[in-house]
Amino acid sequence: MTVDKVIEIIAKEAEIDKSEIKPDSSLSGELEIESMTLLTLALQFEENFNVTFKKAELPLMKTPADIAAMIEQKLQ
Amino acid sequence: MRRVAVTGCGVVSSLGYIKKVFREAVFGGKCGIRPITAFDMPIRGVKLASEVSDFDPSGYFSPKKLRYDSRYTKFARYAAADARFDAFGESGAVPDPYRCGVILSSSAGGAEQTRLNSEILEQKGADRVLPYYMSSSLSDTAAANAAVDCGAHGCCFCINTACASGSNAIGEAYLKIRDGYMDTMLAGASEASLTPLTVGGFAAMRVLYEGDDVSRASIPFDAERSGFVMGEGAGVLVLEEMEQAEKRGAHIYAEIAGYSCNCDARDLTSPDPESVARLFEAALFSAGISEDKIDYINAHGTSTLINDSCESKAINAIFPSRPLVSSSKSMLGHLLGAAGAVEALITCMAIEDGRVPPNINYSYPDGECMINVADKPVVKNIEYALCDSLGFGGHNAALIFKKYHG
Repeated sequence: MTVDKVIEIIAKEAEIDKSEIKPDSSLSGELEIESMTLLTLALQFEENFNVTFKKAELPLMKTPADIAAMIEQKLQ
Repeated sequence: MRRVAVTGCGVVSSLGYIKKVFREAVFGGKCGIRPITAFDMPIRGVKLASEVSDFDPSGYFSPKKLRYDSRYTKFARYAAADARFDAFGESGAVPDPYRCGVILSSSAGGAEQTRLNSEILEQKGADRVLPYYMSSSLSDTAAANAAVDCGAHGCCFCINTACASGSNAIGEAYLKIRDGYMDTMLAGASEASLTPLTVGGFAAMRVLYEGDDVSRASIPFDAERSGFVMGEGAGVLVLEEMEQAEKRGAHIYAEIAGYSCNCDARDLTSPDPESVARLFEAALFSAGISEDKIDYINAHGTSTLINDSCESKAINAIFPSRPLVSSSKSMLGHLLGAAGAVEALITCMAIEDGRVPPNINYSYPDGECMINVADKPVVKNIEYALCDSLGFGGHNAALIFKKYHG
């Protein structure tokens, strides 16, 4: 599932245990992911799913579920 | 006028990043110059460097904390943290954060990030350049991170004056306190630019030692000198307004007594003895002392033909009393932007310990450099010492440190 892969990428880049990341975890809230990591994650999602995120889409990437939904929409 | 004390220091170098180890190595005349390991690429005849090896910053930072940092920023953050804990004890907390500033210089910034991202650009395209490329490659990042690490909200910036950057950082920080703008400053510089591009650039200027003889490579003021050896590392000092330092019973390494800087305004790579002489005069004027008060000069002494003869001319013109002179680059190579910071730190230790660090491997006096070179460690009371840096671009800076008597 897309969301599982998204969580896997977040866990690796942000160095957070995968079990602590839920589909509705807030990246900048409870997961305390800083701005530079969020930007790096955006690049990794682009590379891994072969999609492109526009500048205006970045603030919408709030939870793994949000990100997975955005990716799936782009892949349709 | 407010007095300024040096109350903490931190260093990262080829001769260690634990202060005690570094101190004994420098005053024992050890050499940190070794065959280059940073890359395997023939560049003219350049084979040696003064590299930082086995660097482990985990005493202050987790790997996660440093993951978007370039090498120079890691060095700077470590040296700044070490200086801060040296000055303020176990908490490392700076007094009055809005009166505490940071000036950390670097000449090349994150040179290896430029190399890495250039490769990404070539191989994958511009859309794959890393988001932290800009922040990790710019030369202000070390200062910004050091401010984050200690919550210093005062002035925070980076000065780039090539090989004078570290001396300017400490000098300008000294002025910030002396003139009442700040009470505490973290000041110094960091450099980690041992990449084929940077080495190739300096090699093309024909200013690097070419060969593999460690004992004849970086030999400032020696008649056989033929170029400098590139080094890397960082040096950071904690400066405090004297009353603040004394009130809290701080350990005081030395006092900063004077500072000057000027520009050759003539040629970008060939120093001007007249400007350097004027630099020394201005530093003495700033400290309010006559030339005969200077007991020791920690010289720029790069081991290039032209720098050392020019600097010697200026020393002889201004200091007829012939103080002892040594260049720490004989042991550490040339740390470029960080050189002045590490050399200022060594000068403070020299004053505190009452010993002159040696100009090692000095074998053949040069008629162009007839100064009083300390070729061995010398035990000597030092009341005043001068430390100067002469950078490409004609940027010159000099600091005068004074023994603290309580």
